Amino acid sequence: MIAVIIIIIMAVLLLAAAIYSVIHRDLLFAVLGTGIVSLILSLFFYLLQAPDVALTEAAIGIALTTIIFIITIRNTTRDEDEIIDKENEKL
Amino acid sequence: MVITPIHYIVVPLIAAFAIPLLSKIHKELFRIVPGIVMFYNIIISFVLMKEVNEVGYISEIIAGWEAPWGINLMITPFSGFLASLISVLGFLIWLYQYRFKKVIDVDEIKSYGILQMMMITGAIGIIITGDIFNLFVFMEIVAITAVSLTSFYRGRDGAEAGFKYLLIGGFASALILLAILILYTQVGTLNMAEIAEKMHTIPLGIKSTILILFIVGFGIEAEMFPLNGWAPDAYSQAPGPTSAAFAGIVVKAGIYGLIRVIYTLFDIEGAFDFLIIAGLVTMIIAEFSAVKQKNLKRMLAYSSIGQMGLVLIAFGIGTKTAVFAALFLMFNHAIIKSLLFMTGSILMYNSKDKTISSIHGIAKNLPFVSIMFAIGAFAIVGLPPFSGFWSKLYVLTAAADKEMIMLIIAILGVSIVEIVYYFRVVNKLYFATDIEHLDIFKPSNNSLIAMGILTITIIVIGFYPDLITGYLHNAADILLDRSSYIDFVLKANVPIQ
Amino acid sequence: MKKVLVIILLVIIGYFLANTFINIPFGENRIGDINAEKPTAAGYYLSNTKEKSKVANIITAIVVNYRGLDTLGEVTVLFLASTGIASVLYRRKEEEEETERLSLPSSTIIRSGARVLFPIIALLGIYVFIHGHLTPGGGFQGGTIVATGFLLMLISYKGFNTNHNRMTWIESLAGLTFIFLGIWGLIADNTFLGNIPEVGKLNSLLSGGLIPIIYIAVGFKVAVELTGILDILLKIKPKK
Repeated sequence: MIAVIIIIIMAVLLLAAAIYSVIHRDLLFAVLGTGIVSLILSLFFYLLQAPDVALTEAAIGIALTTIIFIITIRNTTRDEDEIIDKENEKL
Repeated sequence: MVITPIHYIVVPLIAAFAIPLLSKIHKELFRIVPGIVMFYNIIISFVLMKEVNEVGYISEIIAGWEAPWGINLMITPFSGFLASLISVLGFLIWLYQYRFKKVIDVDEIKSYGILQMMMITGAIGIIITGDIFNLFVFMEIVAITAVSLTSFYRGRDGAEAGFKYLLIGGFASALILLAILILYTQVGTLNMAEIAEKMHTIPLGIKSTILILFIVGFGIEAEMFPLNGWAPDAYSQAPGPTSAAFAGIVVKAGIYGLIRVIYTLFDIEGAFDFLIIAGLVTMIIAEFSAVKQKNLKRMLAYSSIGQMGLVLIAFGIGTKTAVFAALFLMFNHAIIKSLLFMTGSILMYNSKDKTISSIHGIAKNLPFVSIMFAIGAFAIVGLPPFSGFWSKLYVLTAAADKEMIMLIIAILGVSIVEIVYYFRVVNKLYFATDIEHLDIFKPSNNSLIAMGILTITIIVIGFYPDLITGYLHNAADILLDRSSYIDFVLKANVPIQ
Repeated sequence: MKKVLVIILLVIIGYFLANTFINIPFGENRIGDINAEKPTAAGYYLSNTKEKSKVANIITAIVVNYRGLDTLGEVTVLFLASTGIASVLYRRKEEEEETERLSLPSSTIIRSGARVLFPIIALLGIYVFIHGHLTPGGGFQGGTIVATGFLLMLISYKGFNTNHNRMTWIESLAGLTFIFLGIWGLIADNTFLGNIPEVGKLNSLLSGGLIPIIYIAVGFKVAVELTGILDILLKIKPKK
């Protein structure tokens, strides 16, 4: 019974993190949302009795993807609509 | 040592892994290594084509586990013919770009050689595999190398074209993976022959979903309308030899995937009508867009998309004559379009803003290149006595057999539009003489030899089409024969040992 | 207006996909009888790996042996991605001024912590890919863990530099090892990537024939390639 409640809470957290990373405007927090989605997904894989897949998703999805996106944000822009706002100001 | 289909993949891989080491040992060696590999590909393709014409099918098992539990590579006459064509084209493209002038830095040439060779290997891998997840892996290889080569010249336009291709190509790979997943949950196996055998146990709703996902995914690679938005940007921004490889090799692999899924895996009757409609819409919209283009490479890209629409129509009609005509069209399009992109790239290198109007009257300074471009233009429109005439004739014959009058009118109308925009370019090349050209970039001898071989092939096949129609009839017959594919892999399996 | 149309389209597509997934019975046994005459692929792997391949971790046997060509393809994809990134982004040092990775020095906690953690992380990664055929893990996972250790050092210390020359040698030699082991199978057993499972007994470190050696080569290759990619990405000058 406890196991089912924990699984439902994790599923709701997964959906909430995914929606948050799509809607929010600050790109750094959006990327962290993607990292949380990978973390919960890796736990789900472990609960479905697939430890290999869980280890792969943890190593690649949490660490590497987040870091590469953060490096890209450092080189471009942190705010999602910054360029559109600048264009609108000029007009 | 016995020559088996695995040599198509292993030998280029050894070369690709060894080139970064070779450049530290000897400075000039790595320029010729792709050429040697492509030449070896031609040799093994001739050996395998001779064998498959006698035996019918060749199947090779990887890692010692037989067909449904391991991976197998299958060579049918259709796939063997396409693999041979791609090997020959790959060698000619290498010959054309040997010491291509624009790329001077050693590091860049190393990366360019590796990426171009692996793109061709990935396309051959799509064609010779007999396992559907292996097809997905090779499609990933083609997608990654194509994106890197599109943005090879580090500039803003190249980056934008490469980014578009990356997003849309990634979406295509995701859809194909989803289709493979759903198929695996229903059938329990990943081998193409066994999927074809068990296809009748899947309920119709799920079968339609899988078919739609496959068509959209492969349609993005095969440039069906409306999924071809990435293609004109990618073709016009890539380096010259790479555009020739895109038009002649990559899009053929995409169409092969689509045809293999529809003809061998599925048994839905309505799929063929959909191919005719999709091909018709693609052809009409692409050809009409090509008229308005001012950039020569973009015009050639739209024309290439239109030709692919014609191939889809021919595959959609579905009779033996139609499939034979479609294979002949693929053969012609590969050779003629590669020639047009090669010559067009040299012509464009001489203009400052890459438009058609800036190469007025250049035929005086570059006689060979201009005559080869003209022959290519005549051939692709369908004028006799070049080879394009025969393929269009067979398509119209197949359409007339099934009494599709509107289709014949549409194809002829589109041919007239093609004549308009190709002859406009040829006219500007030869007859407008009001600009003086100084400082001409002349092509080197190896480029001329490569383009000359393609031109001679066009003329020879135009006069004697019987040289290859025997192979193509055999290939068309075996492509339509679904049950012999399944029987060969699963029951009477006599693999190469 | 466009957003409303897109949402309606997504709802329709979502309905059809959900219809497909609902019909799959989760939680039941869908592999079928694994001792039947012609089992499904999954059933065959479950029942035959212990005797024929002598590898304790069935997933490793599937990845390296039964579907070895797919693994070779994936390793090639990673290699081509690294080559592609290097060809688009990497500039030699003579062209521009020194591109600096860090504009400010990192804090003391990160610097002292990274120096202690880096050997432990590298050791964990190497453990994971050497024992790939006994415990969950393998070449890709272990290589990624080692690359994460290198990343920690790269973002903590300004002076920590990776030697691109040495990395190219390790990468090419590891890739060539994989293919030459496959060709050994071609010459000895007449199939590419054939295995020689008679060596060693089950559940010890030296079991499974060529499978652990292939996975060790893959682990080295993945670690070196990912470190190279991260190094190139970190050296791009941020636009300010």
